[in-house]
Amino acid sequence: MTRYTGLYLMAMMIIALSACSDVTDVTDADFVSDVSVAVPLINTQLTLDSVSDRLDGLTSIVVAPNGQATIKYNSEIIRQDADDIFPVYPVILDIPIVGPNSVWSLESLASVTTAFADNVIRKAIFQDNNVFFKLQHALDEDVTFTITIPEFTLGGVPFTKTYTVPPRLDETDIYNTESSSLDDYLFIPVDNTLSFPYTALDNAGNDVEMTITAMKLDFLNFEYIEGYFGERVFDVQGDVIEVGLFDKWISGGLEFEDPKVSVRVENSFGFPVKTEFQELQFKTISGVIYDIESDIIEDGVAFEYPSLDEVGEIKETSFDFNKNNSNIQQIFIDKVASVNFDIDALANPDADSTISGFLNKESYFRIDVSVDLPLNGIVNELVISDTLDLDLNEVEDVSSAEFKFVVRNDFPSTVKVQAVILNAQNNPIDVVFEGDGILLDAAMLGADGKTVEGETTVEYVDIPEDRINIIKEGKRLVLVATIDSKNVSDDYLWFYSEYEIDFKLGAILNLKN
Amino acid sequence: MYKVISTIIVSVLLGISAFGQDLSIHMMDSVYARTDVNPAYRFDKKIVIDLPGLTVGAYTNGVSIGDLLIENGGLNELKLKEGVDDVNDINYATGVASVNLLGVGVTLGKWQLSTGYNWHYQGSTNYTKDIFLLAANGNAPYIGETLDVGPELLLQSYHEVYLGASYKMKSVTLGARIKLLSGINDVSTDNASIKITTDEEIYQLRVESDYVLNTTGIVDYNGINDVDVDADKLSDELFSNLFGDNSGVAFDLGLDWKVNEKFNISASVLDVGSISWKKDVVNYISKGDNTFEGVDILDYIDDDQEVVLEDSLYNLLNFEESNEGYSTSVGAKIHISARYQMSPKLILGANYYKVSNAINSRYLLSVNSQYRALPWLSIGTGYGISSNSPILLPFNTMFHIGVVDLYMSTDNSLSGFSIKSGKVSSLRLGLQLGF
Repeated sequence: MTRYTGLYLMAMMIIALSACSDVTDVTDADFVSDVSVAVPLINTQLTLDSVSDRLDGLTSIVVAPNGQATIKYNSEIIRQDADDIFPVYPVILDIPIVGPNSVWSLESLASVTTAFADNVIRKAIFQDNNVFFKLQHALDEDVTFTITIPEFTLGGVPFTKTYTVPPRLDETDIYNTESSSLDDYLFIPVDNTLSFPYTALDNAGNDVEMTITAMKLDFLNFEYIEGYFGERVFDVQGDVIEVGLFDKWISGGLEFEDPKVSVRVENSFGFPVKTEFQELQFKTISGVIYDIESDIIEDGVAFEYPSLDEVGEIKETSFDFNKNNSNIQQIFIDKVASVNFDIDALANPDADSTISGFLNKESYFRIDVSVDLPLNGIVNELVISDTLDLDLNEVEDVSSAEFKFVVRNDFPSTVKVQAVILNAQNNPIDVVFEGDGILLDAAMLGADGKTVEGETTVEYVDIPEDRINIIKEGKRLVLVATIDSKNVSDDYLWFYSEYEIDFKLGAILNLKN
Repeated sequence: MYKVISTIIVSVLLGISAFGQDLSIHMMDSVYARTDVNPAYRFDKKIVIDLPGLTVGAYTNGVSIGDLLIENGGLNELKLKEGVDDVNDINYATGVASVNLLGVGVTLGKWQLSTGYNWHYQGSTNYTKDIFLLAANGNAPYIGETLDVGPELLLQSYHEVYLGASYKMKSVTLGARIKLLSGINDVSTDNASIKITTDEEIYQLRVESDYVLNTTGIVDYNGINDVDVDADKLSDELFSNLFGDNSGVAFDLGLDWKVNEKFNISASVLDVGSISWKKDVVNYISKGDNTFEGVDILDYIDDDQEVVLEDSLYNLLNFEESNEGYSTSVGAKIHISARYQMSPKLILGANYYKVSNAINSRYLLSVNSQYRALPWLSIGTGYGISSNSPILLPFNTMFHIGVVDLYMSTDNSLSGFSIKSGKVSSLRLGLQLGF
């Protein structure tokens, strides 16, 4: 039995050693993966609506109830409020009161600010104003000073104040009364003047001659002013509207049936104002500058404005430069890149001082200018291009790939797409699609002028291992699209909001490591 | 993602291949550890002290790590594609380990009483053919198909303190054990359905999930590409949580019928019970129907945001967290055996053993022989089959040196303890003192 015991122990050792060998085999082994992964990459339904939803800033797409779309390039909003036109001014001069029945002309306010030049104030309501008086007399006792300003009334009661004026120490010693608020006082000047009747009495009730009498207002600030504000120009300034439509243009034509520059004015100032276009210029993508030709430039357009019994209402005025009143259509054939405008507003253009207008703290006017391109046009072999940066570090493990494009085009234009891959030196190293590129057929027009749903195109692009190695050197991708509507119709064609390019891309990536 | 799945599969196959269980223990008459498979089995000494022993086992009906190992230019490579032919529709891989720290048995006439402490670990997974194919080939070969890729998982460790008794009647011995269980750590699935469909058009992906992963704080899930499993915690915390918040109870019942002087039939039901997990519980729940149809490039108009496809793919499987307690069974077992005393030195036997855990089960069937070659040496072998292997050659040996018994057994001496080729690998080592 001893020999069997030895045999038995030897067998146990072999088993144990084989276990150790197994462990080494497995832990030393490299894990090798060779899989094919199918993933969806892009799934985009490109409609004018979906693009519009994602646009921000100054560009928008406006869809009419019938679905016809218009691209709108807006200017920054131009707005001027009452405080911009009639700012709140600190009053640095004293209003002299000469004798107990003094009268002061409001025309003197023109020396405070030109905003008040030529103004005839017929009615005003103060806001956040305070008034006090500078007084002095030569007696050695207190003097009782009572002053009234009949043109300032609160609830029908004229502004009246009584002050006890102490004796002066010397001629430079002027007594300043306490301030009184003029808030909500109604100011109705008579013949554009203010009057200051006063009495000055000593302890015995005798009249006293004041050596210094003046009124001091801290600010000229009104909640409401009614009157005539003179013929004056408000410098509204202007803006440059960038038209990005041709940013990616390479060649070909895009002709719009009725491009427009639209102006819309909101006005709540209660006096006549007319536009004065200082400048309305169009700059094309080649740098040529055109001045628009239109009677509107020459004649101006009068803004609607609220009457005296429409205080607080906002009046709208809209007008546009279009193919019927200007040469804008011809200008746009040259592919406009930007529109530069400068508008002034001329108040009381007829200089009729009998017109009584108004303004209040909420008065404003706002001018919106936009370039409107109704998408009703002809696309003639339009070639556009864009360049994207590529970072293919992520595809290091990809040994080969097959891309699958599934595309449907509802637009009445053929679209041909090619993608060129550039290396770090911007030299082309590959093109994604064979030949000229993938061609998306145009959708056909129905009887109602809209297209019927387009055909779906399916295209496979095989990228074998040798191409993958080339493409991995790519640093930029140049996308080139050629768009043409003339093979559908020679007429202008509307783009409707429901038209869609359904673009889907999936890939099978063969991964090895 | 494929690297993640592949790594998990290889790790599972490696992990389970390091362990082993029991086909011939019922033949080892004097071994106290026999009471682990039937509490009605009796030891032949008045007092038995079972010293620290180890039981490890591993089983799979699917691919073993050796199936994936190839030699290429003198270098070893692990390649999932090599296992594609061996994978079943449903595969299981199970590993178990027990440390029998101490057991004491006392004979009191017809009664035998026993008590002891065991530490248990079990790791198991059920995985579909689909998940293996997905990891091996990717999803491109299965465009237009739905793959069921939700694996069932179980990683569990717990303490067990038992109290057992057997009573010998004229020809029948009855035995029972009550086991007080205290869970250490657990990771287990409840619902385990994840279906992934690749559409034919541009390979849009759809993931339908109804998956619940319960853990006791050893999994930190921050996305499918950011899962931190502190697997070491399962074994490192050997003596932690003893009689802690995760409590349970289980029972063993057994019978041994001495039909005549030479022939015995025995049967037992083991580990009928469960553990309630309450400490540091985190439930990860994914229930939904998510699709990824590609990136909408309009979302990136005038946006500097980088298009990251991977994030969209990972988001297909979202998990919500909760902290609800749960319970798991420890896995009931059925053991039926027969023994015939051919001669004073030779016993023949047969054995049926059905082993379960919370997520899968398997059976083993064997015929055995046990031969007392020398007064101090006993050797046993036989032939067996199991639900995952048509050939098993169990082997055991016992050394009797004075009051010391040293024993070792394996269910499959064909694979020995090979982690490469074995679908069944096991080892039991034990030492006991008998007085």
